[in-house]
Amino acid sequence: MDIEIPYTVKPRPDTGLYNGKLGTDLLNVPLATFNTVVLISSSMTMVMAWASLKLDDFGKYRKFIGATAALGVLFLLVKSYEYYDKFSHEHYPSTSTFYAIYFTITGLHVLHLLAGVLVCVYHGIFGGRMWKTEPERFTNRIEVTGLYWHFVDLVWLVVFPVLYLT
Amino acid sequence: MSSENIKQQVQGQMRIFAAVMALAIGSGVASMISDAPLILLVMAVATIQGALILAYLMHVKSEAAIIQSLLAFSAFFLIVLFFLTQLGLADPIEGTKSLAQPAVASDTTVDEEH
Repeated sequence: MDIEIPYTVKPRPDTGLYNGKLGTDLLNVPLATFNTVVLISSSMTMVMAWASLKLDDFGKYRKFIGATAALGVLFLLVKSYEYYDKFSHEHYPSTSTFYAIYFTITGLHVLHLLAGVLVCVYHGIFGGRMWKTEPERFTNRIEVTGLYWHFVDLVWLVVFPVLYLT
Repeated sequence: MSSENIKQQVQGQMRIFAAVMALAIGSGVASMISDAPLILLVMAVATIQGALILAYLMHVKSEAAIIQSLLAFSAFFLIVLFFLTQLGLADPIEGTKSLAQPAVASDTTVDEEH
């Protein structure tokens, strides 16, 4: 039996869709590369925040944890622009299997990053109280937050090539 | 841990970040300038990046042997999964077309809606 899987490498005149190519052509690789740099930079500032606490410098800690949250927000803004760009071209999760996978995986990653940003903001604003009473315990909390942040970074480092570079 | 030790540890971690960042930018640029499929290359790079982050930033390098063994066990099956997809490409169903192959003259083979 001869099995034919329909495909086209150019947008179809009737639907404007094509499925002959993958992420490199469908997604914005330069923007995603920029976002990868942003996320790795945020991991660096997270390490610096933890190190500042270890060196008893709470002022510096606040700056670095603020920078981490800000870089996280920058990542989310770039990702929002990517989503906006896709939606404005009428590319939705229902458009194709690739977009369904793209929106599901990046959406879950965005939710994890958003949670990390909220934790950083919380520790940046309200961390001073615990730092005064239990500095060791507070430093441990920042270390654990850092582990979570690196995990989110690690997930992106795999999602980036799987979705964008293939 | 002394201040000197912490500064040394942070310096080491910054070098890891620099390596991870260079690899990420390299992967992105290579994919943009190359028409060839780079899936194996970029996944190999991602594996190296992940291993660096796990070992040095998430402290797996200094974890107990049992934790490292469990992670190595998971990593083994992840690699098997990667190669399963490659095996699928090497053994296509008769009559199907590979998406990696250039299109025929009309550029389209459309029989029905997606």
